[in-house]
Amino acid sequence: MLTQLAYPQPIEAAIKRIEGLLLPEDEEKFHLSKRSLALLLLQRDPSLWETLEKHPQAYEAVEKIIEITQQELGESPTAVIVSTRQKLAWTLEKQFLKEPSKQGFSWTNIIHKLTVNPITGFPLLVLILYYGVYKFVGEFGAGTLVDSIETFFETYINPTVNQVVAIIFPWQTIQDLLGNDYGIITLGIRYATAIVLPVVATFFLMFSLLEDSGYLPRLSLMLDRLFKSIGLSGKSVIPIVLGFGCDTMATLVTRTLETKRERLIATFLLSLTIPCAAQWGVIVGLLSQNPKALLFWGGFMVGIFLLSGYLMAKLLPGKQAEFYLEIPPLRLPHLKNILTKTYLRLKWYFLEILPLFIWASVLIWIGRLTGLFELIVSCLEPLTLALGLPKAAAPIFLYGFFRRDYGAAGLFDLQQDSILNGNQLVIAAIVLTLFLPCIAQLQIMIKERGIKTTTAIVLFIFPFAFLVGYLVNFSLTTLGVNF
Amino acid sequence: MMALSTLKTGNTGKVSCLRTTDEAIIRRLMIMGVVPGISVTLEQRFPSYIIKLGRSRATLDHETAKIIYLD
Repeated sequence: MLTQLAYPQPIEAAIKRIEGLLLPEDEEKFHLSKRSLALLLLQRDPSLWETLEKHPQAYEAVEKIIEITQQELGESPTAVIVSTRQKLAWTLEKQFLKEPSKQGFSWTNIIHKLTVNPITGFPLLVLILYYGVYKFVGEFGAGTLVDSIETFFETYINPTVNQVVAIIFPWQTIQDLLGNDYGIITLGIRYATAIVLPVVATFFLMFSLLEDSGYLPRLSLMLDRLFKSIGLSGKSVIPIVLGFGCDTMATLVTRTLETKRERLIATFLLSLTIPCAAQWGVIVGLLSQNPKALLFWGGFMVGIFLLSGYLMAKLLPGKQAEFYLEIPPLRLPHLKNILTKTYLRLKWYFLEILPLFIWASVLIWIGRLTGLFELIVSCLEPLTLALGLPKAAAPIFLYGFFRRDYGAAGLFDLQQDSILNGNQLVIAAIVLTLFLPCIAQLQIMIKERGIKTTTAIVLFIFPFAFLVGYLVNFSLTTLGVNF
Repeated sequence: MMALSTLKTGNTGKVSCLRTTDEAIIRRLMIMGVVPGISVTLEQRFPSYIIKLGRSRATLDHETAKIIYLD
């Protein structure tokens, strides 16, 4: 049986008055009774409110009713409506629910306390990031897995493809489209499956594990204060951490942030400073034999992240974002759920990037065929030289325009041929990290933030990335630092 | 009446009202279970406030803790 809930008198009066403004058509249009519609309007239900704003007279009338009700109640009608419902729920709960009076000792509670207590929580956070992210994704995914799949490609697939292509097509041009240095299979598919796949797969696996265990909201609350200093809040921790997997996905997730200001700062920091898994994985792989260089790159990027966030927070008008989140209980994740989630994310990622990698190979092929590629590379060469890098590094910046990780993967090839020294590797890594993530991220950024904001961000990032590279090279040379 | 931000860690109070004109915050806090009449226990305040309400827990910052008033 349905009993109608009686609200305090001022609310009931307001409902009556709003009902009087509604037409019989409204009930049909929304499939709701007049009373329900009046209650929703009284609480300024966003979607219903939008339709109301199109009728200025009705809008003003409802606005006035809410104002009067608020004065009579001394607090917001929304608050009174929700608490009236809550009271009924509590009464029903007391009537029908019995539970053991005292909860005993619980492991999850102890672990929860350990993860959020500042004394144990921060070291735990560092341990989780070190083993889960650096060791598992960086060393195992980007190191061991990449090396073995890459070796497999270099030893078996590439030579076979080159041979087969040479037999089938007598024309060098067609051979180059599929095989050889920049071919669709030998470059595009190799980058996607040998370098990007293992890194992204290990990252998504780790992320799903953290997500399902309930650790992420705890990570947010531990980092809220730090994030406040760069204009963000604990809520941004999730998109920023996700950015270390895929900046495109992370830019999409900034939707969950409450204020426009926070969304803008998060998008900007993701574009400028957060390297995606494929990118940092490759960079960590390249610099791991040179721990000082790796530490310098890492420290430098953290510095730029904090500084640019701090400046954005100072420069952008608007108020600080509030932070409040529900903390779910910690749970032992189910392997099946984690694998399903990782699989779905990887599938999304691959459908998104594989065509881009193939297109990049085709574009490079067309570019080389028409001489456009050489022309752009020769334009980039002075820039590369200004950064203290050899001419051979120019193409990787061109790849970087397609995708940041594609550029980083190109860096991997240069390292294999030992063309770059320690300093040059660090500078190339810094400039590539500062670059825009990729074409896909650019598309999402336009969709989420609009063309004006995106143009401003892009126009800032390109010169800034090169300028910073130039300054780092200048400082390292002047100070005589060699990595 | 006192704000949640002035409650001592480990103590419990009953929510009386939310002092803000921002309807969005009121709605979201209430969805989390912060409604007048519920008793909350402050579990910790650094690095963020953690409160226990009913069977669930929530975290909030100092600014939000200042608008939640207890009896």
